[in-house]
Amino acid sequence: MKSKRHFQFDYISITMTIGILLYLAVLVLPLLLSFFYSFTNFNLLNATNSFIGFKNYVSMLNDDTFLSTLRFTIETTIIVTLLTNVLGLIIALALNQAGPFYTVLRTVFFIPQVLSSVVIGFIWSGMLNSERGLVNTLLRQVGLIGTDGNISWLGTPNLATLSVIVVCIWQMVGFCTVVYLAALQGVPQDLKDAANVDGANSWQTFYNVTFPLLSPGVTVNVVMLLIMMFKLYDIIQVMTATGPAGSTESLAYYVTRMAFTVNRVGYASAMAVILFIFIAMISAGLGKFLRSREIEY
Amino acid sequence: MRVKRVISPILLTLITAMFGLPLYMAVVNTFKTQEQILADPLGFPAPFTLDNLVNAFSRPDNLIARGLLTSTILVVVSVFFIVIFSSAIGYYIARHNTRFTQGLQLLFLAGLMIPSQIYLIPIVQIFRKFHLIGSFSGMLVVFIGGGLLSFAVFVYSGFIKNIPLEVEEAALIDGANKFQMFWKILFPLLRPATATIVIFLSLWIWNEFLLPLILLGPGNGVTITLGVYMSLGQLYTINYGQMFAMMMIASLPMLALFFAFQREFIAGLVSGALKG
Repeated sequence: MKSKRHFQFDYISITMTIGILLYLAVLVLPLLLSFFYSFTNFNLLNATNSFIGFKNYVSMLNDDTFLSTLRFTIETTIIVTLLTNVLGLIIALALNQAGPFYTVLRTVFFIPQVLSSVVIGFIWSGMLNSERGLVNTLLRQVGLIGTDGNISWLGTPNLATLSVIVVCIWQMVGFCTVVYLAALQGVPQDLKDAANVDGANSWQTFYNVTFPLLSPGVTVNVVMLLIMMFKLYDIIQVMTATGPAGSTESLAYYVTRMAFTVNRVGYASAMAVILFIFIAMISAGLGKFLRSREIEY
Repeated sequence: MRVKRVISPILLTLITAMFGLPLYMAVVNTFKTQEQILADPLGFPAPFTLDNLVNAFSRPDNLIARGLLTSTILVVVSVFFIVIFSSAIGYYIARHNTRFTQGLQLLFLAGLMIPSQIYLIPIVQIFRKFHLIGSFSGMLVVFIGGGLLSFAVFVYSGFIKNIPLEVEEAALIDGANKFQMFWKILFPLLRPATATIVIFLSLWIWNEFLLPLILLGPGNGVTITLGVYMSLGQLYTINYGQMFAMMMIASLPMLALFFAFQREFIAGLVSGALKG
């Protein structure tokens, strides 16, 4: 072996260098540029762009739209993460059995994971259409609303938010289910048997034995869902855009609108930096916390 | 106990059916006329029509056929290059533990969680300056060098760490150079990692929406996902049958991929998720 510090012209080092340079050019350098833009008033309509320090960051605090998109993002993120995890766990527990019947059911829950958010958004827009959508048609048939009743699912602020939440859960629950199923298969049967012998009922066995051993799955699902939801963009773009009275505008959507439609590049960059910091904090901080609580056997 | 054993499968089937209702509706309505859909959205397609699928393909703007072609090329070329680059980078990270590799890992970690908007904003400014907006090759470079590369690097480096060093040393002693050793000896051993990477990258690139929306823009050739978005934005209240047909065409290749590699798919998701 030659000295390790010496750069060798072999296949690995050359291919690696090209790959890293590409990554630096496409991702790292633009990331740094975005940080830089965030301290300028870069705007395609301005003749001159100048350095304005933290002004963009201060303006966010006085920007009602920014605050409401932030609130919408945090609220939906928390609700969807919690509900998707609970439902995913329940479904995983119910479907954690061998046989073709359960395999088919598991597959149904996983299929949304394979579809694009655009397709999911359009399917649900069709379902939720107030005149002809399936949801209102079914509600009329059951008699919950009058025969000419129209619930405007995507046209009323609260209902539009609710609809987005339901669609996100529908899309992501298969992911949680699969991860929990894998975690459940890792729980040794003899531990559960031991609990039964000691007289634990099935709830006690679940709560004291199974659930603590699922903690690696909890970490993955919570962190993954939080990151996905913080980036929420596609579904919003397809289903509601900003929504009635701006009620369903997510932070990622607002950043995109400001950057590419309104062309306030400096301001959009500053918000993108905030979004990035949120996501980095979640993955690093919360991930570490949850991992420290994981139990191994 | 006996009652429970009968009731719970029925209950489970009902819940799953409710969950799958939107999927069922999308499938049956692909094969119905507009009148049939409006009269009975849940009814079975009888009589059966293929008009929606045929019409989707014979649109005057050729959006669907072009989109399928563009997306296929995009997926194949990006996945090919990402596998080449990420396997080399992942190998280097796995086999060296220096400050440099630790820095590299941190750098690639950023790519895993970064929202694409943050690097798209400057890229769009640069692309505008060099008239690269709407250019397929410009978009291709962003797909290859972006956050997806990070994902592949981590899968490969994690996997290669578990492969004993003796395998390579034996090959090098036998006179193979690094290139031969890597592709003839090591790479075949990386099959599970490569399968995970190819499957997930194909799915993500095929379904990606924001990147082509911003970088290609309308009128400059579209991916299938963008094509569906653009055409449905125009006609969605008018023609349900065609809407479902287009979504079906856009989703079918990925559904086929999923059903063909279901085991690898789940294994990859779980191993990446639970070890990560």
